[in-house]
Amino acid sequence: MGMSTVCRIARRCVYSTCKSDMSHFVRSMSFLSEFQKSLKEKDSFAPTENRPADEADIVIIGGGLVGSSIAYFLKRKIVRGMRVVVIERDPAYTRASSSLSVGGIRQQFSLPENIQLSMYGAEFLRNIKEHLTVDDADPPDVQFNPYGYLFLATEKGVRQMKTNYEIQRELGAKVELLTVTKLKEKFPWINTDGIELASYGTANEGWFDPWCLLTALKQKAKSLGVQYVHGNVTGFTIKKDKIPKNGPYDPYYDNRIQNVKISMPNGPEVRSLAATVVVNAAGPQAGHLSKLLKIGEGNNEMSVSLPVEPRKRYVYFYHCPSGPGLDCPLVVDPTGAYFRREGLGGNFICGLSPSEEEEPSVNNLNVDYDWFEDRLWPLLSKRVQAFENLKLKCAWAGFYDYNTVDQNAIIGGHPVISNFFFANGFSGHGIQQAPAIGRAMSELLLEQSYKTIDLSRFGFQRFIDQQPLPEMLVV
Amino acid sequence: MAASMRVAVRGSSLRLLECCSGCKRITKNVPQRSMSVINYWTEQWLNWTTFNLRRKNVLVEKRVEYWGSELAAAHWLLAHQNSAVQFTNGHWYAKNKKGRYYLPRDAVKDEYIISIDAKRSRITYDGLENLFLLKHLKYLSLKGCPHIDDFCLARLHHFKDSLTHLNISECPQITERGLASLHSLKKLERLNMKNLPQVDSPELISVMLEDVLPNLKLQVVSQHVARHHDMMDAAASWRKRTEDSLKQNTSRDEKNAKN
Repeated sequence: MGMSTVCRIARRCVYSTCKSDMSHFVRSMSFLSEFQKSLKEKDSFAPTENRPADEADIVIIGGGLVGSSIAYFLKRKIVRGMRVVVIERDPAYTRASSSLSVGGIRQQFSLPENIQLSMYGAEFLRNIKEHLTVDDADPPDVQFNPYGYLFLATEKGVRQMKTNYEIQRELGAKVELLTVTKLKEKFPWINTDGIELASYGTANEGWFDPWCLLTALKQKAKSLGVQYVHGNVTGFTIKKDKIPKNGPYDPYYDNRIQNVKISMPNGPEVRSLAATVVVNAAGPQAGHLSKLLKIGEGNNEMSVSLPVEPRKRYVYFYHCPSGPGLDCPLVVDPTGAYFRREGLGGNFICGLSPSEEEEPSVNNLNVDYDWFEDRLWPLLSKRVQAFENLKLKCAWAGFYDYNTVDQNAIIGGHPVISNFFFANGFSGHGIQQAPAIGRAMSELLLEQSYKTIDLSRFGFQRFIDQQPLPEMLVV
Repeated sequence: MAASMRVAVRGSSLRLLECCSGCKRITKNVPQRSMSVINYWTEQWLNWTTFNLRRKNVLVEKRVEYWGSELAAAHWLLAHQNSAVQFTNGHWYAKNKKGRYYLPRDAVKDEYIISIDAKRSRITYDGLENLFLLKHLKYLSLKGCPHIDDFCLARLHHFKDSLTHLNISECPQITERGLASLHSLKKLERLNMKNLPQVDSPELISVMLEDVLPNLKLQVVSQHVARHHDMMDAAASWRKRTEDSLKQNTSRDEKNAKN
């Protein structure tokens, strides 16, 4: 080896040692920056995903089926330029009526608006793959069972059933009236003692999985830009307008909600969200929410409170192998007891709405099994003889957002607080009406009037005028 | 509707590119401009196909007024859905190879449609409305129809008085819930439900349907019953053979003992 090669090798060795020193130095530099980065992530003041913006165009309080449906229909029309925020205090929906529901959909109501709302609900479910598919994900499957509802009527209820049938046929609902002989022929397992007439829905009636619909709506709304915030609404700031409502000498001033106060989870922070429009879709807690706005305390129109309160309903799941087979619809007894088949293994689901005196307390979701033994089982076994031998497997309870005045939906604005809207009080038929309610609210908010289904009769004004609009067929 | 088509292509034009030929040079580096062009044309294609599907499945009342209920349904099936129709006189009518069909009014004046062979046609939920006025339909084949789902099967209750043979094999959107809604077809004798990709346990549904529908005989069930009988016979014969051989052995032992 000559001197030059030795020098070259020596130079390379020196460089490599320097490089390794350099690399060590460089690596320690990057380690430092990573440490700084991790500090930033753990910084509690850094922005995280759950924080809402400081202001929003439309704030929907309640992220269940009704709230998500309203958000989806709003964003469907205007994708950019409108900020919609949905506030939900229970993102796992453990106590939500949407997920604990039995999941039935029917067109057999007594008011034409209710019939039209559920008809659109059925159409929405039929075309759900077209409406709610998110890119690059599986299309939603709502598992609709098209087996119909069967309402039974004694002699007292025959006239009401016939008038309801006329209204339903006029609006295009596919319902047929069955006499006792036809009923026996079609469903031989029914005991027709005391039954004079039955109405059976042949199309667009049945039951589905409301949890699938809820997740599909939520995902589609999120993909369109709706922000779901995990928080609890604890108050509002209301501002009185300086301009009176109807002319300069009108003593009534417009009240507007300026901010929504949201208490964030895992801490004492209460955020203030400035809102242009606030929609109450809080389900059973709607009455409590409206009390925060002092609706129910005050003069004149403010003295009328929102008559929505939670009512606990039990649902029981039992096994009866010799029960009705594939042709079993959701049968509703004249006493109010209902049952339906669940799956193909001889399992059934049943329930009964208690009368006003027997209403259970709503502090918890505990199930009363004596209610099944004492009240529900005798009614079931009287109606279907095979149900005398059944085994109760499990049960759960959920809340109805019960409208104490007339058991119908409350949709529309408040006369005094001009940017507060209601979508409450569905009393057990909220999930079937949720898509149509979403569409109606989006029309009301964006176009100032109902375009497809006219729900002006369901406004808050009927409580001020004391003209209730009762629904006869409430299960 | 065309939801299945829309889902397959929506938003993922890259998937479309991957599908058409394995040309890797294209799928790797697609510049932004041509992506928007591809998106535009796929959206246009989707819009056209959904529009066309809806157009082909509309119930045209003027057609019913002019032709009467049976012939109107026949014309709809032959012209728009590329199916075959059989009348009570025994003749089948369908499009020929040139794409034309001949349905002379005098030949089928007082006849009813008794069979429809609509396999791989594009009948949807709304399109079935065209068939509800048919009162004497006995055989309906909806094999391989991509838009027939559970809601459509629930609609088949209009044929509960006359339908005896139904073929819904290879329909990709049918599930067990739709099959269970066939309980209203009281005169059904034969049901073909092979190769339904979304039905996991056709045997259970078949047994339950046979319970509810009096005239129905399903091959799946009869196969199982026959197999069960064969197994019982085989077990009985095996038992008999072993007993005979045991008896022979004991008699031989006794003989040896005696000797």
